[in-house]
Amino acid sequence: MRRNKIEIINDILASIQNKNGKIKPTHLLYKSNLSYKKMNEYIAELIEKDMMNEKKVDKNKYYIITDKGLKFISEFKKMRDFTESFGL
Amino acid sequence: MVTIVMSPNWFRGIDSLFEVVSLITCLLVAYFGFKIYDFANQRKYKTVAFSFLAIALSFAIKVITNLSIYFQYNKLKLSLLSAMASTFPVITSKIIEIQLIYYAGYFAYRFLFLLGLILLLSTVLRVSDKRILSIFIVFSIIAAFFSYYYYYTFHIISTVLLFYIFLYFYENYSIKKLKSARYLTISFFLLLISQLVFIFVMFDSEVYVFGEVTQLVGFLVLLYYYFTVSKK
Repeated sequence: MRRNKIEIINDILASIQNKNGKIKPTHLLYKSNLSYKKMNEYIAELIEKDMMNEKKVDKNKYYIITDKGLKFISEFKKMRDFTESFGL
Repeated sequence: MVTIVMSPNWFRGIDSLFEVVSLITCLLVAYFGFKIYDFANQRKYKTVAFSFLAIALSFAIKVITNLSIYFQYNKLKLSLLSAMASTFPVITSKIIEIQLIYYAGYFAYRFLFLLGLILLLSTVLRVSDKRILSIFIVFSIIAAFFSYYYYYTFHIISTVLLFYIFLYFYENYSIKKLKSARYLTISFFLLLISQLVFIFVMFDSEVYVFGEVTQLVGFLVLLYYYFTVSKK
């Protein structure tokens, strides 16, 4: 089934959260199931909205989830439960 | 003669308290629906929120109407007791005042309650065609307001609408097996039973108490549902 925008954002943020809050770009590309171009568009948007950050550790690039990103995941869970319980 | 109050004497006021609980529950679910709409920006959440808001408003109007009737009724009883001093036109105007409050208040209550149920049912059944929805609303309203037995017609229509909402929630629960879906199904089952019970008030006014208690329990289960979903 085709995912909508907030589902994709949730998948990206949840992928980072599941890796203890930081993930390498290659892992994120694999986990988010998006094209390289699309993933970069989403990352740029999420960084701009302060839901994730970029950090360099020993020449490696990592994406880190912020508190706002964690809050998004929590709100998404509520929305999903509401949607599924109502069968919407 | 018009029967204005279905509630037995000892239960008057308690029923309004029950309905305040229902009103608060519906307001909380409506607020949550609007919050989800804000987050997801999808119309279906807004419609669900509006349906609960309409039901909340219907209870607010019913509570105000009932309390006004009880208050006016007590005033009328006092003037009858202090008696012969009262003149006939004063008593007649009081009765007309009570009837006017009843007709206006209950008209608004029935309209908003049915509107809420229709909006909810049309959302879960995905009725997106506005023409079908408007026919649905118009026929329900005509049947509930302009029929001779409007009290019974209103509760029969509510029962039918709640039956289809309950059936949908039950089927949804059977597939997903979610705890939250189970609470929602139980809640709407109890609301369905309460509307069914209200139809039989004609046999005994104590039946009204049973209907009100069942409705209260239904809304308390809905309140529990709200807390489980919103506090995750």
